[in-house]
Amino acid sequence: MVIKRFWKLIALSIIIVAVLVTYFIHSALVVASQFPDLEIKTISGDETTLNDVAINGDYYHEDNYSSSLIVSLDGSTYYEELSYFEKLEPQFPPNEATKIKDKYRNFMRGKMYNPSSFFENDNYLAYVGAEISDWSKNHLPKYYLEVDVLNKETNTSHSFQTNLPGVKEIQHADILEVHMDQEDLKVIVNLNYYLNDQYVDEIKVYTLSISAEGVVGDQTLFDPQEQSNKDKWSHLMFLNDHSELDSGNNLLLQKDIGHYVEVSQNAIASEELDSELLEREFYIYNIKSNQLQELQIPQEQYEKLLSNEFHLNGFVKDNHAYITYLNEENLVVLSFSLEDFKVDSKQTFNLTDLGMEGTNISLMENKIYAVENGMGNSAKIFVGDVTTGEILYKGEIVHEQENDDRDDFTLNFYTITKN
Amino acid sequence: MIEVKDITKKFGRKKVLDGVSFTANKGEITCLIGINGVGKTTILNAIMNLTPTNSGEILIDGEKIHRETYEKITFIPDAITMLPQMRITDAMQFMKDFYHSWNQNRADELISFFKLDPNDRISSLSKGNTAKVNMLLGLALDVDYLLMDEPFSGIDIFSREQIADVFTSHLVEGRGVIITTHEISDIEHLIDKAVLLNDGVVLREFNAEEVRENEGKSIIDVMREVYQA
Amino acid sequence: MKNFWKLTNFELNRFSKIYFILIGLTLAMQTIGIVLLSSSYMSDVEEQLALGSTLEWIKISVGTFSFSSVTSSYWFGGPIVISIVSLLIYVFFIWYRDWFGKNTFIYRLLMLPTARINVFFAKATTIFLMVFGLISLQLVFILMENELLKLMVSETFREDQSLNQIIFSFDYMGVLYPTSIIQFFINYGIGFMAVFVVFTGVLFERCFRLKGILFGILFAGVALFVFISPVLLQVTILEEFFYPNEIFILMVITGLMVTTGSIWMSHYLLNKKIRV
Repeated sequence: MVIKRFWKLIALSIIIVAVLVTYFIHSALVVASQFPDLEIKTISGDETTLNDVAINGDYYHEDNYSSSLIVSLDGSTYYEELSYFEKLEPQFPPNEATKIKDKYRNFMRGKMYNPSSFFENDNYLAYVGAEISDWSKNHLPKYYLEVDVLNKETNTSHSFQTNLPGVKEIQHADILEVHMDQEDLKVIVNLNYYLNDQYVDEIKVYTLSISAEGVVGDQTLFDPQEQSNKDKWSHLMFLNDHSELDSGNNLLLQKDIGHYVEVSQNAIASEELDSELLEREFYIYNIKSNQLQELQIPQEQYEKLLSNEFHLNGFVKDNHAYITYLNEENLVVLSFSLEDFKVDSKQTFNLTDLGMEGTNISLMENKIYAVENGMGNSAKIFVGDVTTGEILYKGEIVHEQENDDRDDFTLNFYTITKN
Repeated sequence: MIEVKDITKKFGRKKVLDGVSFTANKGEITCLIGINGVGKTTILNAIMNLTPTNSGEILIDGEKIHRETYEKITFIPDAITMLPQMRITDAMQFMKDFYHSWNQNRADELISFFKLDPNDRISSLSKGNTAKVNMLLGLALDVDYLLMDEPFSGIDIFSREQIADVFTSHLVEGRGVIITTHEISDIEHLIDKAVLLNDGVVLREFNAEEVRENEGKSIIDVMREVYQA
Repeated sequence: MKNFWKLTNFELNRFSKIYFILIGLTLAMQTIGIVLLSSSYMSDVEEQLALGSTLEWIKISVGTFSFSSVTSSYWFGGPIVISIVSLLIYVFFIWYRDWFGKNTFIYRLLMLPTARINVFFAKATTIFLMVFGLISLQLVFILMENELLKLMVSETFREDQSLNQIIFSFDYMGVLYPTSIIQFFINYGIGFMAVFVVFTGVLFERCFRLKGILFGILFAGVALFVFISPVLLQVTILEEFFYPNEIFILMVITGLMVTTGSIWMSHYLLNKKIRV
């Protein structure tokens, strides 16, 4: 009787519950099986060199779905497989800045998760962000510096804002490095603007006094006038590892100098300006001593460095600066002593022997970590000692179920980080 | 006892009820008399909490209305309050579903008394039969109080007689009834108490029996006095 | 509680005819769509075969056939839109139908010996059940239609898709069928909160008529403002102060505030201000 009168309500409820429960169980299973479990298979060497190392990249499936992923010795983690709340976290993969978020939850509120904006030592955590206060009439942003310094002992923070002195009409400002030196903050800022119709980079070192809440000194590392020369351009790059909170006292800079040549494209008289690289210089800037020193590049390496457009990497660790480049199938690591700024060793890793093509590399604790960046369904990795040139570890990121030879996906890895 | 105490009701600036007070006793038929638009229906709506009042108080057996009250007071509006696509039997089932006070025996009795076919759809009924079904749905509830809005208006003479018969039967006996009308002639003999209304004001509240005995006047006589004064 | 379910069943029955028509229309139009689209595709293919084209060439020139070819057509999306619009209209009509016409059923509903808010909840539940019912049946229909498609188009030219691929490949289906159960509750939670707010707005109009329309709109505006206030704070004076999961928690709180506020206000209006 009840069923007869309530059959529509009962039937509808049963359909809803049955279908939706089935759908969500089904979807969870589909998502779980969508992304293959990857693992790092050791070919040779000591696996412990990969402890705490995370290799970050992207997974692409033929059917147009993709996901960021992290691979470590523990296996693979896909962004798309994270729970709803894990996806709310600000960055995937997490970086050094997001990692301190949970420890200093209140201090980290409203900050940009750019590791270069932070400095941390035993007593302090400092943040300097370049923020836009307003837009001027000619659509240019007005930047100011947002400064916040946390005293870890007292758990109090001191924050203030300050304008960028001596700066007008900039297109873009980027914090490259923050360093705290007793009561002062050294902030290295990259400014982009037009000077004599040329788009120039200016790298400025600001000294901020925390007690005076303002800029007490600024210095330009390279004269931007030099870049505004129409016949000759120059371009500045900051090679230190942006993913770290503190890049140390020594910063590695690359300066490219080139000129424009007119190339006539074809018969339709369209002439285009092509640029040609003439010189490439490397500098070490010491934040503490405020000294800029040029690295001395031996002649036999100089040509190679000049012709390597995309495969240049630089690192500074302890008393050494490292520059790596590709020489045909060799990955070359030049090590410079920071005492005399001269090459004190050179190591070569033969990629063909390692079975690798393109690589992305990272330098951590005198070890070079390299991962293949080709679009395949596996990726080789190796760890080498930069002081001896010895290969410490060889391995490959592969699909866990070896017999399951699915090849409907590609992997692309781009960074290696240490937790 | 239903006590209406000094209620006022405004629609915009117009006062529809202006300090209306009266009482209706159990076991009596109380008639609210007045021309159309005088606020009779509004009073019934207010008693049933179907429209808000601006001030005043209405008590049913000494209590303000609450959900359980609907088991002991019912209202039969001038139009049927069931969905037109329902059959009479569906309508009775609906009432049975929600009211403990629904008395199916009495409903069946009324069906045969009014000569209705329970399988008829409400939308297919004549005016008179619709009014009878409307009446049935209220009368078959074992309630203490019964409110009826113009039960005789706009229906044929035979249906009128049948409905009027209900008032003298056991179906109404012992209950308190409030009935509104703008035309008293059909039911004058049934009324115990009259409340004369005009412009939202009670002009006179009196017991029909007493007036007849003491003053020798019928309700119509009193009405003539009051309204033509 | 018993009365609530009786009322819900009653409300469901009142709309069931139109509801069954919507279900039938969806199934019919989508089936016709598949038959038409796949047979026109197959006739294109046969034409090419008659011309002596190779299978490979046909796959390139005519293309392969998949369920996406159907989901992007009006035959598929049309009935979904019609159903959504019908239910949206019914959110209002579920109340107004009780007032309109000679037989004003609202008298009966308000005189039931049960809390009047049960009428409100029964109407809301009816809407929710009908929404969930349609989306559930649509899932079943997709599976059935996918099988039908397999009968219509030969395997050579077909690109089979799983249920999830069909849903992923189609934008607005993603809103109706999120993969994450939490996202599902967020989407439908916001939807149902909006239904409560609209109901309250309708009751404002029913209580105060012309003036009530203004109150109703004002109430909906305040509800919206309260609900999104964490986001407003975040982008204005607090400058990204909250973490995303805090915003989530705050919006759950403001959402619950809006919902309970709406229910409380409706309860008040139904008991103190309603007129027939």
